[in-house]
Amino acid sequence: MSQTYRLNGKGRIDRSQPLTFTYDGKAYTGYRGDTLASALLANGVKLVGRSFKYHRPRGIMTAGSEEPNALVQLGEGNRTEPNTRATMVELFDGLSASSQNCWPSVKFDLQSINQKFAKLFPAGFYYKTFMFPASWWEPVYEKIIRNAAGLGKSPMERDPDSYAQKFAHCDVLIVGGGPAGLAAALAAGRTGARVILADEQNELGGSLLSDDAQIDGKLALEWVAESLAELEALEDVTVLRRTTVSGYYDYNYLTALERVTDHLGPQDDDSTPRQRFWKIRAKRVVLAQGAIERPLVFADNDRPGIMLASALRTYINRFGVLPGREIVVFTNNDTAYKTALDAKAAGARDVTVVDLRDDPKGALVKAAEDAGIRVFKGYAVVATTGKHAVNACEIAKLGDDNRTIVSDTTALPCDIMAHSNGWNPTVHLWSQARGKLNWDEAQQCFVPGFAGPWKPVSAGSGNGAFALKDCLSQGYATGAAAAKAAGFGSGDVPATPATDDIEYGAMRMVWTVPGKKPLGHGKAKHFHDHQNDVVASDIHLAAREGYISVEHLKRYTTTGMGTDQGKTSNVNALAIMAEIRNAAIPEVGTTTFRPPYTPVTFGAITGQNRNELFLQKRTTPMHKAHLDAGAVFEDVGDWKRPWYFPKGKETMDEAVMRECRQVRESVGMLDASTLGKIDIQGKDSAEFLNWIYTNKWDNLKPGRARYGLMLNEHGMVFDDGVTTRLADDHFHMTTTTGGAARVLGWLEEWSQTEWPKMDVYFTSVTEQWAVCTITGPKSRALLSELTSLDLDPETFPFMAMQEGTVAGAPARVYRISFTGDLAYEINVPARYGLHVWNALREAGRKHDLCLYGTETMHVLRAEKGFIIVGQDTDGTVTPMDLGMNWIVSKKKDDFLGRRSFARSDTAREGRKQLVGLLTQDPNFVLPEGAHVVEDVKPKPPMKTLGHVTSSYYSPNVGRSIALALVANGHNRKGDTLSVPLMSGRVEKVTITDTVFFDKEGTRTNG
Amino acid sequence: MFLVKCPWCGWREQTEFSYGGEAHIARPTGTDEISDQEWGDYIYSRKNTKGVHAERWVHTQGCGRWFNAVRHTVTDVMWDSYKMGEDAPNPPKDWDGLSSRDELEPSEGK
Amino acid sequence: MVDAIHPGVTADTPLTAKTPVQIEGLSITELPFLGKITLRGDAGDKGFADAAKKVLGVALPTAPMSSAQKGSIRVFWKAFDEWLIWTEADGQTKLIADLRAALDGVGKAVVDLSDYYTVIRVSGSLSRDLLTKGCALDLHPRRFTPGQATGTGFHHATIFITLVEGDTFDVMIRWSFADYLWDYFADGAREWSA
Repeated sequence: MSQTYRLNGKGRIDRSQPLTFTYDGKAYTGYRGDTLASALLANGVKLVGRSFKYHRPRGIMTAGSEEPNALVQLGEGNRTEPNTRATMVELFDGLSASSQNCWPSVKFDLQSINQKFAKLFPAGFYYKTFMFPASWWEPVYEKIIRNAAGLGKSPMERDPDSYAQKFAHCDVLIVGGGPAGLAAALAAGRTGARVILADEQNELGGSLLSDDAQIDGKLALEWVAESLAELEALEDVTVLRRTTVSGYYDYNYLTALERVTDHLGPQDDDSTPRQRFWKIRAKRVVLAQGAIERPLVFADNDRPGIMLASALRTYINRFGVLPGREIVVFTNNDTAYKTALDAKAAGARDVTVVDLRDDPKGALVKAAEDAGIRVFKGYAVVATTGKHAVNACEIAKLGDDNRTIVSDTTALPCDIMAHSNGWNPTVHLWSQARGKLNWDEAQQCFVPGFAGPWKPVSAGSGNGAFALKDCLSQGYATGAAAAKAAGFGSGDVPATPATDDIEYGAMRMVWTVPGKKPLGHGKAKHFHDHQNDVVASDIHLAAREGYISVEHLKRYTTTGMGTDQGKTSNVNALAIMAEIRNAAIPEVGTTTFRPPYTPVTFGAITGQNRNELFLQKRTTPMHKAHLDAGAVFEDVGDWKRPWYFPKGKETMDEAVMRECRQVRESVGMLDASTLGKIDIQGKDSAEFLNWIYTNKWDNLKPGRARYGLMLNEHGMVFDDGVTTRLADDHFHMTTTTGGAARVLGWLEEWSQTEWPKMDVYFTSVTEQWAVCTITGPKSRALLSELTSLDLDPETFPFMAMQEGTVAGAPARVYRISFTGDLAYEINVPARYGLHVWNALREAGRKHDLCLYGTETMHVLRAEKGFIIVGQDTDGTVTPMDLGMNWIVSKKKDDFLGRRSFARSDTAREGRKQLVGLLTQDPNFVLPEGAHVVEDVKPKPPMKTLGHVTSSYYSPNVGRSIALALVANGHNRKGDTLSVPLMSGRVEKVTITDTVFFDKEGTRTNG
Repeated sequence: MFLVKCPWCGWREQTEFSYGGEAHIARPTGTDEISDQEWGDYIYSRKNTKGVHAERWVHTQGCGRWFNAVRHTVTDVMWDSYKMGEDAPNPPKDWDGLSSRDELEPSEGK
Repeated sequence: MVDAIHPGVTADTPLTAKTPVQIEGLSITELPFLGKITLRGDAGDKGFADAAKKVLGVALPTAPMSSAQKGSIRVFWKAFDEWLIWTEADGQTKLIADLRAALDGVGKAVVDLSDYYTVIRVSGSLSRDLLTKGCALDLHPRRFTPGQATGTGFHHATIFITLVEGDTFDVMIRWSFADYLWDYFADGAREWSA
């Protein structure tokens, strides 16, 4: 039994569950209910890490989530987690943790040499030291900084755990389960409102867990237990333990991290989520997060064994640990006397209070003196000593100016020092919610002020009401009011039970306690930000250099940054700056608190959205057949489309060349199901299409199809496709795969917002229809084997649609072509897609059918000069730029985008225009995106005339082909230009028209 | 992430909606007659108001309908929304942008 | 499966290959091949409303998020001028023909979406816990009542969700997103599978 500092019979730990754990490789024991911090202290371990900048020995400073010091590396391998606060890690059997920021060991750290050169590490150190030359940043400075700094190590392997997310709604969300939060939950819960009460600790009670306060003449913890029992019996109340509300966003949307299994240690399988990330939408929010004790800023206040007074009290009362024998309590207020009294009662050999106040009058002062505790009044701690832990402090009488010492120093041996500089209400979430903060002069702290649009209410010590009586009464009042505002209850406030509060005396504010030498002289350091190793003299330096605004101060000194977000440091820093500027603290202002309140793991933010569930994979009904056929897939938006179908050991090039030739020689089949499809019905459908497309639609006959270009109001092409008239008042539109949602949105927007009187209705039918496109000279022969339709070109001509059956399934067959060859787009209800695909494939064997993918589709369409919107266009291209004047109706009065044709830049000569390019070397394939220039210079910049938009080797043309947007290109056919490449090669190109294959267009009929 | 009030479906998560920019900008008629300046204003010029702003939204994942809404661009509080073709339900002159109409006039907004 | 209407033709759903989830407190199954139809029109037009009621056996619901049911036909309010009709598996062909005939001249659009979507039924005491892993809608029994229905989101997917009764929800999803949604549900259910 090595827990030398464990108190017999005290604390809320479960002695029937002993646990073993290791720290820095050494084995220790603790109990269920311990935190890593309390267990380490029970075992006499005070030195737990090294500080960020100076690598000074550091210990445990707090007992809560505000801990800036005791950051440890928890776990090993793929589960290791850096920067966990030892004060928040619940002990489990087999836990292993190690110190951070030290090498080779926490006791002998080579970088602690930094302390000797502390003068080299002033505020703004990074800015000043690593300034010149700029070219050194990446290769030199960054390496130095990365090696020297950093807090802990990230895991290098995959996280083996699972994480969950949960959307929740409630009428009243209460953050914090101390006396105020519990009272609020009772008042709100009793109205029948849906209540969520979230607390970051393993059990509710907040400060009462460390206290011996009484409610209604009984121990307050009995009231806590009764309240919890009542709440848990209410159907619509949810109590969340180990749940930190981390973010407060617009419209009362709050996020919270619930640690589901962390306290049990790593789990064997990942079915139970390690953590659950709550996304809570609350009608009203009660913030009852309590208060965080403020440290005193005194010389060498960072040695292990020096902690906040409230933390020491928590270790004694809640965890049954008295981590020292000789205890000095240094304070400016009465609350720390409770710590001194409890330490004395717990059996400390010697307890001394050093009180900054000359004449403290509170009842607790007298109680301490009555208990035999020595009290030094008007004294300050001006130095501490001890290599790896504090072993003594020196005290001296403080002058009236708060800046000088007016007596000799006296040494007080001690192995634990506790200190208190008053309390800061926890206002982080209030501030995140855009609430304002007011300075409370009497209590010397920021308290919630103007609430802002989301109207949170604050109760208890988080609201600056520190007495238990006020915590309870504000809790009941805010809970009842919040429920009423959410539509529940009458707003009646339950009566506040009796409490045993003690009247406290006034504080003496000494924002920087003087040391033996003037600030900044000598070796002593007055830390106000322990995590970032920022000292009071850094604030003075920042002020001297002009960084007096709070936002500048923060960035220049790094005060308040890091994983603790300045929970213990911010107000001290502001107060010190206020003193320097001779200004009031609220004039210096506060920085804006931002989420998260405490760190949130990436796993929890990700939740289930990982691996296959990270992004949806949209597949067509024929996907299984593509997998069986060995397709290689291409991502088109979210869709997985077959890119090419390699046979044997074919490379992509070989497969695509084969597919390209085979389609034009026999027949190929493409899965075109992903094309956007929109059903359009209504009397005014044709008129509507006249507005949307550049060409005329009212003269299209039922059963016939037409190609159309859509423009935005800037006159630029944004989608294209073939639309078929099914009946007078019924059209079937197709869009590009990627443009489907955008086009439907475009149609709906115009129809609903500009022309609501038009009788036209749109329905997306993309997935209703599976589409097998067969194309090539033998496609008619193939289809004829499986269809009831008469395929005679006289009765079923190009750009027509007929309904019938294909392979027994009902089908709409469209004779349209994106290859220039005879083609049929066979649309069947999606349920039959796989069946029809397989039937066509089977029947296609004797016609030498080949499956082809999107790459071959691209080559074949480029051979014909057919554009792909988004590849050959980029949002700055008009139909005229594409050489498609033929599709722009001159007969219509107006259509979308038309007016912009007359704008000066759109109408000007010499715009970039789509042309064909033929390389001098017929086997050379230009890279897409390459620039086309007139005059080649030895190196850029060169005046560019445009760029290559599409480029392939075409086996059917027997050479490479390319499309390009080139300035004034339509007037430059036959000209030779140059394409200079990254490799240094300069390829000569000749401008041609855009059709490279079957210029006469005779193949469309097979 | 804020809430948006669909005139039909009520207050819903913003993620269900798409934003459509400033409201009440009609497409000019007789586009051949208007100047380049007028056409350019229609395409490009927006008020970028600080404060009370009438704007368009569409309930993409819900009912799919476009509507207009009045929002305070500083606080993001939506005063109310209204159907296309209806007049904007203007908030009181001294509206502070802190409460929606449903909060201030529970009987009106429902 | 072989289609009864088109002998020799096989038909699939996007979830044909999935195994239903059946665990304590949670059941996830597909309702394959339900007939699904979009109907557009003006509810204020008596001719339209009466004709629709005659075919469907029930009046078109006009309150947002509401629905009406008659036998195997369920009619959901989708928007003020749009309804979604579900009918028994393969019942859509006849129903569409009947609607088109009855609504000639008064209806605006009738579209077959039977294969555009499929429906996943999620039921059991854990159904709300599963659905709220990805759906931000308030599904509390006081706030989302039997027969209510609406379009909303589930992470990257858009869904249409209705409470059938008690703990039984039907979730309609586009064919191409069905695989994603199903896998999300199945992954989410692992928490309770042990």
